[in-house]
Amino acid sequence: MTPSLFTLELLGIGVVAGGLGALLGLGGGFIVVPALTLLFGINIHLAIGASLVSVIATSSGAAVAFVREHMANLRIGNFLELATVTGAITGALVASVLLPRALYVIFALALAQSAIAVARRKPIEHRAPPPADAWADRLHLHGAYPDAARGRIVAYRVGRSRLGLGLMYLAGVLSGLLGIGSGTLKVPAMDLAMGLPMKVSSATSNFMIGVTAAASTGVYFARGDISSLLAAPIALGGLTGALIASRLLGRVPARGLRITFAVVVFAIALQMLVKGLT
Amino acid sequence: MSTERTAASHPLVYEPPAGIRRLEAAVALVLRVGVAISSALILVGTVMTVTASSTAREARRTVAALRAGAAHPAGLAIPRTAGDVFHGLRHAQGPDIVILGVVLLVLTPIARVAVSMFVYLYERDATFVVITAVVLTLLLTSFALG
Repeated sequence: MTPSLFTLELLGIGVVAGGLGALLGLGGGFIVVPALTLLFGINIHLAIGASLVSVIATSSGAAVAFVREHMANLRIGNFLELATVTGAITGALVASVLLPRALYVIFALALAQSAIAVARRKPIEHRAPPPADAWADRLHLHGAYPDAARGRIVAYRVGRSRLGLGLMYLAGVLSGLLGIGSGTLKVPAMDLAMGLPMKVSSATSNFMIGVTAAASTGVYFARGDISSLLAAPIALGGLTGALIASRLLGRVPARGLRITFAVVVFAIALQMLVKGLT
Repeated sequence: MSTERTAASHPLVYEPPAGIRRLEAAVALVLRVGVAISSALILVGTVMTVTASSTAREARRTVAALRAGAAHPAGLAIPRTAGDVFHGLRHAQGPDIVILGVVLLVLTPIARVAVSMFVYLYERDATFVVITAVVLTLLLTSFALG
């Protein structure tokens, strides 16, 4: 196999991962790691390292638009990063002592959780505001965003910030362990636990994914698990995919996309499980 | 409610408070510049790697090792320390430029935390200066581990 053909294939994987990831508000790591390990036979530690870099690329690229359109709540992001970054370093250190076999099994479980979370996701239009939260008041976490679909500015209040912090630590651990953005954990932590609107949750999750992934990348660099030859084309493809997807976002039927995602991810989860157990 | 609007035909205009606006503008700028520079370096470096015959030969060997599932392929473009990055810069061959691009890409989110800290400092928001300073310290520690 020539390096240029291999590079083009990696670029293609990046486009698919970045595109699907951006459409679903995820980083795309759920595609990169299985593709590299199952299709190309690449060592899972190196696949995770490459995935982390591409997750940073897609998240940073997509975050520019979310931030400029006032969709992401940067204060909440900065606050919760305390937990995701600590978790990510923990996860990266734990990953370095785990056998590839164990990583495959944990990856399969995380994918199954993602599939279920995305399949069941539905926008909650009318719901009770979250309970009063002294931390959220003191830190001025409450916010507002322009909701184009409803044609007005929507103000929201934030609650259960400490529960959010705990869940974000877990999301960080999974991100550092598996090289994924773990958006399927971050979004419910904000959407369901803290009471943020769905769109703000996705945008803020995307905004935080880059910093979370960067936290574990340091550990992967030191272990020699970041191969630029692998990571670079996937990152470029991921950026391209995310850019294309951000233009398609309004035009793709959300429900069909979610169901397709759930089925595909469940199938990948099974393959990863088989690889881990045999 | 004064913020209610029924503007379906023309785009919704939302002006957040000044502090948030400054933060958003600074963060968006850092992310955009970081992504643009790093992806340009990655693109140029990758094209150079696969077109120059000496690096292409080396890349072929690395690709073969990677696809054989090697845990630690003797490696082209696998930097482990800051020294590796600076060493490569003096040679400035394709793989060295790719490495620089990847490193700048990873530094981009870290830079946006640093810039946020300065914006909070300017806003005299002591709590968030401390929060972002702790996050920044954790990030730099993770890199110092290597």
